[in-house]
Amino acid sequence: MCEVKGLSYLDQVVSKRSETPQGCLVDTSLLFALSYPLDVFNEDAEAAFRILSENSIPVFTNVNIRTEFIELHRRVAIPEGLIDLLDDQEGGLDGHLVQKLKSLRTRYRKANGEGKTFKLSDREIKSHRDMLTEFEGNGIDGWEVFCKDYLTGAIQKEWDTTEREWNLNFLSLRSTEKHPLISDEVTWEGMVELVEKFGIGAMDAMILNLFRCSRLEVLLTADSDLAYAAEKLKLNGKVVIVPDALCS
Amino acid sequence: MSEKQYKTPRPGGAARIKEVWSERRSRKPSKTLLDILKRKPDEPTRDDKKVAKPVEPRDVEL
Repeated sequence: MCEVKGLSYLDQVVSKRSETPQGCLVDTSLLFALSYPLDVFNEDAEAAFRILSENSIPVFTNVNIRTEFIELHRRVAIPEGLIDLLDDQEGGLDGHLVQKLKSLRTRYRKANGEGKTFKLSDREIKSHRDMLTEFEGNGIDGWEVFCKDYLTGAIQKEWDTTEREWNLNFLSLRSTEKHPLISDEVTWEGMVELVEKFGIGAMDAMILNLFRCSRLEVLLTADSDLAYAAEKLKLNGKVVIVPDALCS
Repeated sequence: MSEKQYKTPRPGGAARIKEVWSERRSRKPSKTLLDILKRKPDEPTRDDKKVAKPVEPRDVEL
């Protein structure tokens, strides 16, 4: 079985092993928490990276994690942009629009008050898009201009800053040459097997499959599905670190 | 460590991330957006749009 331990054990895990771990895979949940100051696990993520920094442990991410990271930031940046628009220009906006945005702001504030990250679902984003596309001027609609004003460049910057400031390494499998940190072939069949075995999402399964096929010893996650599945796998010598609050 | 040297996290990465978030939250709407989304003064409000109840026809004695 793979060990699942709370973050307070990370220092012991990385500093008291006979060999220094070659690296750590960080999954989307914890990487997002690291990049979003209001996330409930933001401080945990920062603490984990401080420990990894002190112990010179490289941290890896991959294309699946980056894709999910971008998607989470989209779901957060859109409501925040709409709320910022309301806060700035409430008096100048269409009355019906103001009512809708006030309702969104109330939900956002409630979530923040409860320590939760407020994310819109894809369906809710479409609903807000439909609302803004009703407004048009000079051949462009309100949603298009909203995206230009509030999103353009913003999400790319979140990724670039997180990657650069925390010195993330990118684990790419596209090269024809086998990556030195990959020990077993990473296959679709291996991913699907994890989906079927544990009922986890395909993206989670891709990340877990990569972890089990790699030489990386540590997986950092705040995703209980991933931790559950990892714990059931026979991954000798590997450990999954979760925020203490998720550790039963 | 493996033969290849990989980057390791450097201390202090959190500060710039918080700045980037603050910068994003400080974005302002363009004039184009405000022109599109502004209340149109000549457009009837929702209350104005309420159609008056049709008047019942009076019984007219012929």
